[in-house]
Amino acid sequence: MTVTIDADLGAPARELRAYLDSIVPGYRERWGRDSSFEATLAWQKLLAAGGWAAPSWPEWAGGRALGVLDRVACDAELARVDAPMMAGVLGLQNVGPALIMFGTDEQKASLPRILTGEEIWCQGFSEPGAGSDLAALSTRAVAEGDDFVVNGQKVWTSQGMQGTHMMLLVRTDPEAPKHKGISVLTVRLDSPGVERRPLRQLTGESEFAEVFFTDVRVPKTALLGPVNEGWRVTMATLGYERTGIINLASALQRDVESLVTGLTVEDPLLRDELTRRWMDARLTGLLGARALAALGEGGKPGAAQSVIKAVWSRTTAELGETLMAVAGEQALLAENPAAMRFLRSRASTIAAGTTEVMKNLLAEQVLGLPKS
Amino acid sequence: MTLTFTDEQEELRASVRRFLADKSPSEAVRRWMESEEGHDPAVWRQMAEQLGLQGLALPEEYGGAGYGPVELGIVLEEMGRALLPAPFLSSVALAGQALAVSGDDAAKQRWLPGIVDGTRTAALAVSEEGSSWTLEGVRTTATPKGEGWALEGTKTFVIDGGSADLLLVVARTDEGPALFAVEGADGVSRSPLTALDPTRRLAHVTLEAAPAVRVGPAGDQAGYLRDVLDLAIVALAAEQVGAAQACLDLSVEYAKIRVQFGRPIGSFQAIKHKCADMLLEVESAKSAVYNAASVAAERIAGAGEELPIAAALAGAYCSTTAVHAAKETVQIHGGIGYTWEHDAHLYLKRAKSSELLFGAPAAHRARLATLVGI
Amino acid sequence: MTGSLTATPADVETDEEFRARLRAFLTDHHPGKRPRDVVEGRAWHKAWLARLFDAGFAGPSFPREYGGMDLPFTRQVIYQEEYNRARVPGPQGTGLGIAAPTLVKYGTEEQKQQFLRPMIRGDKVWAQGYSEPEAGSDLPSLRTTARREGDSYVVDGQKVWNTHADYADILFTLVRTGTPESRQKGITYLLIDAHAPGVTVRPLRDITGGTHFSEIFFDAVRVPVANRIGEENEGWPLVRTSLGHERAAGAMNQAALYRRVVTELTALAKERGLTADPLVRDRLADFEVRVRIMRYTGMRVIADIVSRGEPGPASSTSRLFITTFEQDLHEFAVDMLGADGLLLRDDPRSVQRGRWVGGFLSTRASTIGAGTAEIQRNTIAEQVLGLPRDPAMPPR
Repeated sequence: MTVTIDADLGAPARELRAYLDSIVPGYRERWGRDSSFEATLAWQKLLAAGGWAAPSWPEWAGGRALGVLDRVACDAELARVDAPMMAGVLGLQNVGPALIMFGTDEQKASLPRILTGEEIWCQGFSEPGAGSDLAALSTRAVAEGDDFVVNGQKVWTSQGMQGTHMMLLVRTDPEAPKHKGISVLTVRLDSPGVERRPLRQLTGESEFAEVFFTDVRVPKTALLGPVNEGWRVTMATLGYERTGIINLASALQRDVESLVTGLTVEDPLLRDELTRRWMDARLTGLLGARALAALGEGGKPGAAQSVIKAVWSRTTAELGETLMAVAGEQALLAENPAAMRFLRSRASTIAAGTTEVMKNLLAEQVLGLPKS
Repeated sequence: MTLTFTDEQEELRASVRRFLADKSPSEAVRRWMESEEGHDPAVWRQMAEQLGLQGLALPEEYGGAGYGPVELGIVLEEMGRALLPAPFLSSVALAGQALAVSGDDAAKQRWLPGIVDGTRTAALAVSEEGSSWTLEGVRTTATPKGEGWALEGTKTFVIDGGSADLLLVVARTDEGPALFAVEGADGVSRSPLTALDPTRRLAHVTLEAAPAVRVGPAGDQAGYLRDVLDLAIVALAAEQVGAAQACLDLSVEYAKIRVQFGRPIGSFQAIKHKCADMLLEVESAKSAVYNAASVAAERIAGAGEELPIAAALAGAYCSTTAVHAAKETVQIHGGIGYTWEHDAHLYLKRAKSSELLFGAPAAHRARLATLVGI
Repeated sequence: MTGSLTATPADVETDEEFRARLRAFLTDHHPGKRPRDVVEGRAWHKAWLARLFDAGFAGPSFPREYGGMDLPFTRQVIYQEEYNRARVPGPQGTGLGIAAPTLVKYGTEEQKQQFLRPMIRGDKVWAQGYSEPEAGSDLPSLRTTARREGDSYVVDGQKVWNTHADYADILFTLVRTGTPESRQKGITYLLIDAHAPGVTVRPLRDITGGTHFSEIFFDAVRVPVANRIGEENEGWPLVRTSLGHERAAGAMNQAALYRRVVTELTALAKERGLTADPLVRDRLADFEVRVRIMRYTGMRVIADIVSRGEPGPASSTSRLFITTFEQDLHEFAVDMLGADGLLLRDDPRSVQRGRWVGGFLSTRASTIGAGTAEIQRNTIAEQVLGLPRDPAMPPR
């Protein structure tokens, strides 16, 4: 049984399936399982050529204006062929929607380039002093003539090394309450004064950058949305890709189900532990399917999304440990896939909202408990 | 797959909840759990006459409404939430469904109408000493005798086995395990068990040449009986989810109003995170049980091959969720949660008891592991 | 202070001779089985404590002048080991463990003369009156008031969760003498005659169905000012008085108790053929590990006391360690027994008279009473690890 979608494949997903059938063999022949930036960029260009890079965007922006169910059905098609990520995923899923909702005509001119991967956007959110408490960010932008002058530092910037542009959160009013003095700037990363360094994670890999801004001049026309309303702009666009977590949930379920059945585990304790992970993954997928069913009936995502995120985080982290245990001493070897997976999984309860912060949110916003 | 509910199903939930809030509030639960009968016969009648709950998920040709495990699950969830002391799980969800899926028209004709209208109750006897809710552990024997059969053996932890008019007993035959109906006192002795959960009656049943009728499909019944046990696990899981949700609601409500150190204890992260963890588990448990009920409905319609997986998943997960929620409810309530007067302990006892009645979570997981190829 | 850390020169008996003498006494005078009847049981218990006292074997940590043994710390540990090994009943009520150290440290000479000897001999049973319905974790918010009238206080209010209060003679009680907002600064420590007019003790039924606790109601109860320990409004610092390091010895006691319990559970598992199950073996091994750690932690704390005079940080975590251990242990025992584990003591088929399911219920209180596990974690975080105090909490 697949729990993601068992409804009939809609017309868009059927069309995508046909398109994928036409492009995947050629792509695999050229790139195989390469997951490099170049490979993912090539994949994005292929999808963009068929109009499939961002099917949820409105048609005028180069999308197909797909609803949530079609969108998930399309994602399932991509998963079916084990499609790679697209290089400019943040631009496609997060920045593009923000430009669509709040951008000026000049800013919207980036949209076609985001689709094709000519512009790779990243997000300048977290700072050394602003992690769970993102609104405490202190990167400053001071108005000077026709420009803002930006000083500060961002950290944990995904694709910060490959990016050409950044959606940057800055503080424009240091006197206002912390959520009220933030603005969003669209910044070219080749601007003078921008310095980037790769950030090495505990896995040894570098998927993130630290980005330093020293007297970087950004034209005022780069302001996205009204000044000092950057928090609202950010929040409004975070919810745009409502299916993101649902996809993650069903991907986790598929992943664990195929992984677990490929393992041979004799030890009853490990079997029990692995069975728990299988259950957790199945339930994460089912939570996603429930949320999707509710969305399909016009329900609001909100709370369910946070529940899925928290459950997904916990399951992913525990799975890392279980796979490590199953691998036994083999996991002590460097580059062992289980060991790498274990190390990577440590991020699942930290990134995009620590589990502790998520639980506070759930307690306050879903259960209605008083603020601390 | 049904993972959300239709307006009609939501209305069913609302009306059952209203009914139980009215007829079976905490004071009534406490009064009846201390009583001889263990439940309120008047409420039992009203359930049948006013709401038709006993027959809701049983076939129309025997007076039922012909709905299925999804609707039954909704009712059981609400009963679990209200801790209703009544032979509903035993008579309707266990024995009633066992008859309904038996394909045995004579048995259905003979017993379902009484179960549907609530005038008769039935119980399902599976577990024996040293074995919970498995076919492999059944040692009770059935041997042909005249027109019927004679049963010999001991059944234990039979839910409402002390009061049921009809006992459906799993027993061993030369062709493997099969289901038998036992009525009357001939060769049957029943004694009540004094067990943890005061809201549920359990009995020890000894069968000595007890006359019985074979029920269910002719020939090998292994597949049929596996379905019967799985349907029972799914039904109990629905009840467990309702109880877990009630625990979460009680805890959250108390955390909002209980003031210590000058502020509601729910403003402390230690309490918040406990509540959030309960929410995550309760939501996951709902996913498990709604999926299982939906697969059970498919199974009854002739498909639903995944029922064993879905039932094991729901049995393992909902059991631990309900126990954890109940323990946390005692803890969050502090001293008051440790008193007899507060309902927290009734949920704790129900949850712990339910966790072990149909096989412990580890047993469900062991079965699941084999089923999914671990 | 009492309980010097090394044996005095006058003490010619060696530790091993002391151990042997105590063991012989406890063996020879063992009181046998406790009578089933509750009232008879209490009289039997009292008689045992009196015999112990009269033989000079009561109150190991208390001064000789008030009837105690004034043992050096190492001997207190021996005493606890032997006492526990002999499986004889400990003190009745909670006075000796909690109130007596306060009395020794802060009581007047008259008070010590009046109260300590009968408490140590077990003639008078003491019970605690601290918690209130609205003052649990936040004890400094307590509202039971004591109004001064001449040579007396007049006490009004309600206490709850009072262990053994239903047969206590003296209630050691915290009352408010300051303003309602005075918190720690307006609390006074009073000894209240449990039989005085206006005192009503009502047993409280708990989740086990038993009545191990009571509620106490005070309605214009007159208490002589002479029964006040310490000064008016200065009762709060008296609450956490401990004498010597008997808590460390108490933790050893718990470790010894649970050593026995784990062995019994393992035996039960073997008897029922459950040790073939790897999941059962794993859990039993886990409890074996934890019960050994419990003992080693206790020994470390004692070693710290003997060598440095102070227990180290391990002592602060031992209570949390033990309470979570005993909850896990009893719940596992029920799970291991399966549905049979659900049968209560009254059922003829119950396993070992329902002790495990009874323990499953009663240990729910372990992480609630005398400071919830949540409060203990806060305390460890702040006082041992030095994490900042929650700014929203009232000042200490």
